[in-house]
This record gives sequence, structure tokens and C-alpha cells, in this order.
Amino acid sequence: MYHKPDRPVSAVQIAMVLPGVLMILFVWGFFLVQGDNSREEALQARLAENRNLALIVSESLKQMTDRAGAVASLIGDGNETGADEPDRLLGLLAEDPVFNRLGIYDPNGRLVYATHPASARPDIGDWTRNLQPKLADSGFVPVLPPRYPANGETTSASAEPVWRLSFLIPVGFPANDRVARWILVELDVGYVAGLLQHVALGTGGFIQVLDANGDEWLRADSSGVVVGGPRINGASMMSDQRVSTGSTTLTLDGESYQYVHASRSNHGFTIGVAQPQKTILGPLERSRGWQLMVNSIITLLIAGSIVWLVRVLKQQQLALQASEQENQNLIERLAGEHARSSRAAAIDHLSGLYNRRQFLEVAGETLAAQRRARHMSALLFIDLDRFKSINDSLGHHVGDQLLQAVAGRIQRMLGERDVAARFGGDEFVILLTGNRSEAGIEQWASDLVQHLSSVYQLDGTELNNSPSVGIAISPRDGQSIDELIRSADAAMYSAKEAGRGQYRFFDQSLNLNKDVEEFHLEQAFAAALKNREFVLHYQPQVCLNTMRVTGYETLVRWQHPEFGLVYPDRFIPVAEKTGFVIPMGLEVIRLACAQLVQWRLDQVPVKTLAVNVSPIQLGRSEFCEQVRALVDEHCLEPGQLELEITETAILNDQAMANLHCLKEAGIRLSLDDFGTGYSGLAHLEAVPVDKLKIDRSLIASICNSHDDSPVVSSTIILAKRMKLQVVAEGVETPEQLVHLKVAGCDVAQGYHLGRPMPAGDVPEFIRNFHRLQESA
Amino acid sequence: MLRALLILILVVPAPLLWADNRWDECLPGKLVFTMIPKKDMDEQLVEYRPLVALLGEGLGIPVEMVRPSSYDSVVDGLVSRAVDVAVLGPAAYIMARERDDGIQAFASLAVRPGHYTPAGSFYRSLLLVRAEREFRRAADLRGARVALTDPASTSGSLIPKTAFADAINRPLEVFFGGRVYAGSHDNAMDALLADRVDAAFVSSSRVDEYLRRGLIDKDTFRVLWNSEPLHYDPFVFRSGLCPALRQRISQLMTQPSERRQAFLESVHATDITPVEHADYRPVENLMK
Repeated sequence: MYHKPDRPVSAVQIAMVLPGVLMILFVWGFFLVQGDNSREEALQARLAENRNLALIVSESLKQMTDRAGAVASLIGDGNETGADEPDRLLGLLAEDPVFNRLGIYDPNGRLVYATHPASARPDIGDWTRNLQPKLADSGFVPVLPPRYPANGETTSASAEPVWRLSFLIPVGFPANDRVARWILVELDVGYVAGLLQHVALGTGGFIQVLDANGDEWLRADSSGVVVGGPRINGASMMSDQRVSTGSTTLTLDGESYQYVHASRSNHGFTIGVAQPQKTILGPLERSRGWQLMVNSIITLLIAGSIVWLVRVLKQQQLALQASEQENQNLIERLAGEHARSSRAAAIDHLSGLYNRRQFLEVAGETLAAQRRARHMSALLFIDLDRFKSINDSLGHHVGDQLLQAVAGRIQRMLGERDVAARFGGDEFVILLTGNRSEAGIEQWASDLVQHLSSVYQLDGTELNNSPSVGIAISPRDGQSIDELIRSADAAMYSAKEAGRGQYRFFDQSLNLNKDVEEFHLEQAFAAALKNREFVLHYQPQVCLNTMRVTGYETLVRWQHPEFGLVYPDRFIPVAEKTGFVIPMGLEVIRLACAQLVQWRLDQVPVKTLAVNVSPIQLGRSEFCEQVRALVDEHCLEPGQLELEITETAILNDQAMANLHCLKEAGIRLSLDDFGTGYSGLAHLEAVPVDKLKIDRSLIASICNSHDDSPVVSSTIILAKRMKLQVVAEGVETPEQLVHLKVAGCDVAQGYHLGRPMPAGDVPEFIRNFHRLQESA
Repeated sequence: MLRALLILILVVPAPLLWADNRWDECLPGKLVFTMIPKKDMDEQLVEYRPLVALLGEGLGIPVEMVRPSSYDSVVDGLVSRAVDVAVLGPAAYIMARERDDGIQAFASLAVRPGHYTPAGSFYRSLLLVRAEREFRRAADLRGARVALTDPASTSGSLIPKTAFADAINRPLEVFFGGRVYAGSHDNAMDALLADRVDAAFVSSSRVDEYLRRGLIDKDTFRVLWNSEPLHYDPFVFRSGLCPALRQRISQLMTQPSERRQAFLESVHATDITPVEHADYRPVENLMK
């Protein structure tokens, strides 16, 4: 499971979180500042309202006192009290909603007359004595007398509601401050309370009427007249001014009140308006509560958005990482697939070793590394002996198993950097690396041969097999892998020549059983090629029907500067061992082509030349192209060039491919030495040959009798059935010729008809042979 | 004058004339009428307008209705003889008689029985709290703020101060944390409904009136205490009003007539029944 460690907060996250935090701080900062401001504003606004209310109520009360003054003035200032005066007063009072009762007192405060004698105060001397001195300042105006007597006993009367407000009106002579009588007018509190009940002061708010000493006469709220509420202990709020206002904050019963008062010192009363701050701030608190909720929601939204954004970002990052990881996995998988398919392309599926292509690549690099390290490398070319016959006799299944077993044994012997490959068929190639000596290499090769020669257990079958190993050493035997392979291949052939289970070095000096002459020849090969020391001799082939020469087999000779003319049986094996057979074979074909061209120019009637091709050469992949290039180069007609191959050559896949390729190019093919090998005629069906050359050993067995060589006869019959031309080699007697002609053989070749001759002798031979035939 | 008399003779049923044919001789120039405040005064004046019409037509003189400011103002008016006929509460009646024993109760409204009020001319003083409040018993109201009506109200002040105080065995001012004289029963109920007070002493007939008008339902209030039945508010004459006139007014108010019916409907009453001082003696006893 892919896990990414938590990273510190990224810049992007900060960029998202920071504005959010700032926004939240701003919202709450604004809330707090605005809260304080609006609280202060609300209190100030209510203070102004309540001051106005106090002023209005005080004005209203003052007007009532003015009315009381007016009522008093009706009574007049005389001492006489008319008989009908009480009735008149009673009538007035009954209809007056404000005043219920009225009393008239002499200057000393003794009752003279009362509208309601039963409930009238008999003596108000206490009040009049108190007010008398103030008349000079305040004038003859109605005054609210003090609630409690001057000697200061605040009675328990507060338990009962005061239901009347008394106003004392001096009547007399203002000029000399002499009071003639006092008139006490009593105001119905119900009337005042009724007025105040529509004043909205909210819960806990109330209005007070206080006397000059600050004692409460009346307290009312919107419910009515309040008795027994919290007491306010304020000093006198009177001032010198006619009307004065003030405000303060009180704490009553643990609650804060805003308190505003309006005082009228002349009339001796103060109106107080008290309102709990809680009530004033109530609506604000509600809106503040609402604002709080809105702020909380905004905060939650912002925080939620941030959290959401951060989460989305993280998820995206994770998704991106996951997608990257997925891509990485995909790439790895594709790389794996690629490696597998490359491996499949690079590995020989049967043996599990590299195939030729991959070997060339890997070994090339390895060789380069070896050379950089100045180490000696060895390339071993291994061919299994008798593999073809094992395959044929025991089946492909066993053949494949054998190849696998061989590959396994090779693999087990390899060093860490050694490279091995199967080149197809039963050919294996190994590049030995590391810092090895020649002796070490030889020991290794010896061990290899020994290992591969041990008994194989295949599907319960015991099998004996051995390898032929050719060894080329870098840098001596070749600079490149190609050169080394070529050299090792040649060396392998020389090992095969030496018998089964042998190994041979390409460098003959390393081979212990070297032949001195071979060695010299071998050494001279390169020069021979270069100096064009190889020459061709031509042996005629005669059509038995017409007895005319149809073509010549070319036979290579080495015009050695030292040894003179050397025959192929001397140098071909060496050439094959050393690999020089390949360039030499090509040289022979080139010479044949050139000769055909020359004879065409000289108008010598030679139609066809047959050239022997070494199996080694035929196993070369490039062989066909090389031949076709030569044919084209010399502008030969199709069929002019004929290649003679041996039976062993056609056992190789590459050789077969070459044969088809050559056949396609119009080059005729003949199978040489037929009858000596192990291949039967049926086996030839797949081989694209045109001719069959019956080996001279078979021809030599032909005597006079027809029955002497049933093999030859049946071979000819079968070959004819397969539409193959039959050539008899080594015809040395007229009897053989007759016999072959009778048996249906097409062409004959041999000393009896003509020995191999240099090119220069051919025109004359033709002339003589034809003249001889015509004469015969 | 003669013509008016003739018309009156024709109009006024014979038994009335038989009862007292001298009432018009002591007829004042106008009749002054007032009543204790029970509710919004404008509304209350409108309700009593049919009575003014009944009396004005029956007596042939203008009837003046004085707007009262409190119970006390009504009593003062009666005592000072500025008012001829008034509606008082039982306690206010007793108070007024203490000051002037010539004041005479002569009639009382009989009301339909209600959820809170017994049938007939009786009502109760109720101690109400809002049903959703936590108060279950009267004792739970210790320290609460209570609404009273007027110092002179029977059910809204006198009964609480006496009968209820006896019931809880301590004076109101000690028991309650705050007292508010709301001025009228309706004001007291409004204060209770607005949660400006915790409890209120109210006349059962006013609560029924609220119920009738749909301002409350039966579950709005919880009754924590109620008084014995009280005789309904008396109509009273001031002292010194001539007996013939008293009889004539009594007749007008107790004898069925169209105007009287209109008045009864206006005040949601079923009848006007004659009363005498003895009917208010229980209240008088409470006040001693």
C-alpha cells in the first residue's frame, strides 16, 4: 500500500487558511466593537428618551398643580367662607378627574374647611412652617409637601399605598410674603397612574414622584401603582434652577438601573424614571444574539469551507499521487512486458540461452569490456556430433530434450559474466570472460567436452553424445565477435575432422597434433587468395544420349609458388579446418563465372560449369546472396552456373535455405557423391536439386553384367521418377558407359570421357572430342 | 310641564305611579352618575350608555356620567354628594358608608354563571397565576410580585388583605415581594398576561368576561386561591336623595323594559336585582 508521510502545511493551504482566519477575526472583532458601540448608543438614546419622559411627566404634574392653583384661586383669598361655597367646590371637585378633596387652612396650618371632613388632615402646621421660609424664593406657587415630617421619622406608612398626592397652595399677599390661608388640594393617584400606564418602560422600569427631600410619594410602572419596591436612597436632587435634570446608574436588588430625574425645585418635587439596563439592552441583546448566531454560522461556514477546500486539495493531491503511482505501475508493468517480450525475442525458447541476435549484442558489449580490461576472451563454437541422426532415429522430442540438457550443462559451467547462446540446430556458442589464461581456457574446454560427453538420461533413455568444439581467442583470432565466431566455427570443423568429442583452437599453434605442412599451407592461404594462386581445371560432362559435352565440373588447384600445383585433397581439409574454405569457395565461384564470360567472348561453346561447394560454405547465411551477386556481376544466363553440394551439407537448415534461394536465382544444383552417405532418395524430395551425381565408388562397381550394380540401376530409376537428372562420376571404362546408358543415366563424367584440364585446353578438347564422336 | 307629566302618566306603567307619584317633585336639574373603574374607562362608559338613556328617559332629566379616576374618587364624589347614583364595589360601598351612612345600596347586577363565577349576583376574588408558571400552591408565591386592583377594590384589595392574609397567616406586604395597584381588574389581568407580575387578585366576573371575549382560554390561568362568594357590585344612592326619586330609579332599573334589556345586554348581565345593606354585611364584617 502506498503511503505518503504527512507533509507540513503547504503554502497553498496557508493561502487558503489565512484569509479565512482573517475573515473570522474581522467578523468577531467587528461584532465586539459594534456590540460595545451599540450598547453605549442604546443606553445614550434611552437616557435621552427617559430624560424627555421625566421632563414631560414633571411638566404634566406641574400643570396639575397649576390647576390646583386655579381651583384654589376660586376660593378667593378672603376670610369669609360663603354658605354656598362648599357646594360649589364639591360640584367642581366631583367633576374634576384630578382632584378629589380640598381643605382650607389658616396661616398656622389649622383646618378651617374641608370638602371631606372625615378624612381631612386636621393640622398641616408641620408643612406650613417648613414652606413659609421658602416662599420668598419660590413665590406663591403650589408645592408638594415633604412625605415625612421634618423631625425625620420615616414611618411604616409605606406599607399602605399613598392614594392621594397633596399640593399645598399658599394664598395671600406675595408682595410681603404674608400667607392669608393655605389650600390643600389632593390629587387622585389613580389618575396619575392611569396616565403613566401607557408609558412603556418595559419590565422593571418605573416612574417616581419624589418630594424635595428625595422621599418617594408615588411609584408607578406600566402595571400600576407599585408599593414596596426597592428603595432608592438618593440625596436631594434639587438645585437652584427652576428645572434641572440629571442621570445616574443605580444598583437595586442586584440589578443595574439607568436612572434619570427631572426636578422642579419651586414646586418641591422630582420625577424619577428608572429602567433596568437589562430592559434597555434587551432588544439589542436579542439582535446581538441573532448576530451571534449569524456570526457563528459564518464562522462555521468559513471554517467548514476551509476544511472542505483543504480536504479536497489533499484528496486531489492523493488522487494525483495515486494516479502518478498508477502511471508508475503501468510504466513498470509495460517495462516488464517489454523486458519479457525482449527476453522472448532475445532468448532461444528451447534452451533458455540467448539466440544468435541477442548473443551478438550482449557478447559484443562483453567483449568490448574484456578488451578495455585487457583480458583475454575465448569464443567456443560447439556442434553436437551425430545430432542429426539422433533426431532422425529417436525423434525431435528427444532431440529437443538433448538440446535442453546440453544447454543446462553449459549454463551450469558458466561464470558470472560468461555469455552462452544457441545459434540454431545443434550449434552452441560461448563467450568466456574474466581474466583467463590459454591454459585455463583449454582446461575449461576440456571440462566442457567431458561434461557434454557424459551419459544423458532423457525420458528414461540413456543417450551418449559428444560435442565438437572450436575455440577462438580474442584478440589474437579476431577483433570482433563476428571474426571470432568465424574463427571458432572453422576451428570446430577441424575438431570434427579430428573425430568425435574433440576441441580445437583456431590458432593451430595451440593444437597439439598439428601437421607442419598443413600449418604452412594454412599460413599461405591468405596470400594465395590475394595473389590469385588458385586456378580451375575443367572436367567435361557428356550427355549419354547425344554424346556431346554439356558442361564441365570445375576442380580447384593451387598453383603454389613453392610446392607447385597442389591438389585439393591436400589443402581443402586444411582450408575447411581454418575456415579459409569460405573465401576460397567464393574465389572458385568467381573464377568459374569469369571463365564462362571469357569463353563466351572467345566463342568457346561451354554452356555450364559446375562448382563444388563446401558444406561450411553452404551453411553461411550470406552465401546465396554472394553467389547471386557474382552471377549478376558476370551477366550469366540462368543455368550456366551449377553448384555441387554434398549430402552432409543439406542436413543444415541454413544450407537448405540457401539452396532454395539459389534455386530461385536460376542456379542449378546437383547432389555430389550420392550413395556414400546415409540419406536415401526419399529424403531428397525436400531438397531442391536438379541433378544427382552418383558417387564414383558405385560406378566403379559396375562390371560387364547388368546385374552387377542393382543399386546404380535402381537409383537411376528412382531419380528419374523424381525428375532428377542423373550424372555418373568416375566413368573409366566403355562398359561402364554402356551400362549407364542402358540404365538410363543422362550424363557421364570420368577419365574415359576426359580428364580435368586447364581452361586453355578446353577449346581444343571440344574440337577433338566432337570430331572423335562424329567419326565413331 | 303638564304636558310632560301627561306623557309620563301615559308612558309610565300605572303601578309605578301608584307606588310613588311624588318623585318628580324632588327631581334635581340633572342626575350625576359614575362607577368604579373596572376596565378601559372609555369602553366602560360606552357600556353604561344604555343605562344613562334608561334613566334619562325615565326621569325626564339629563343624566351626566362622570369619568372616575379611581375607586376613591367615586367614593369621594358620593360622600361629597357631587354624585347622585354610582356603582361601587362591595368594599368601596362599606368605606363610603363609613364616611356617610346615608349612602344606600339598592340594586345589583345578576350575571350569567361563568367558568369562574357562580350564578346570580355573586362573584369571587381569585388569585391567578399563568398556568405555565411553576406556582402550584398559594404558598409558592412567597416573594412574588402580585397585582392588586385599587386600594378600595373588594376582590382586588380588600379580600386579599383580609381573607387571603388570614389564609396564609401573614400580611400581604410580608408575604409578597412586590405589590402593584393596577387600577382596574383588566389592568391587573393584562399585567399578569404580559408577565409584568407573577400573580394577580382579580374578580371572577372579569376573568369570565375575558374568557367570553376570547382573550384567554380556560387553560390560560391557574387559580391558586379563591374567596367565599361575594355579593355583586351594588348600585348606590348618595345620602339626601329624595325617597320618591330613589324608588323611581329602582323601578326603572328593576322593572323589565326595552331600555333595561339593552343595558343588561350591554353589560352582559341577566338581571338587575334589588339589594339592601344586609347583603354586604359579610364584607363589612371583613373590614372591621
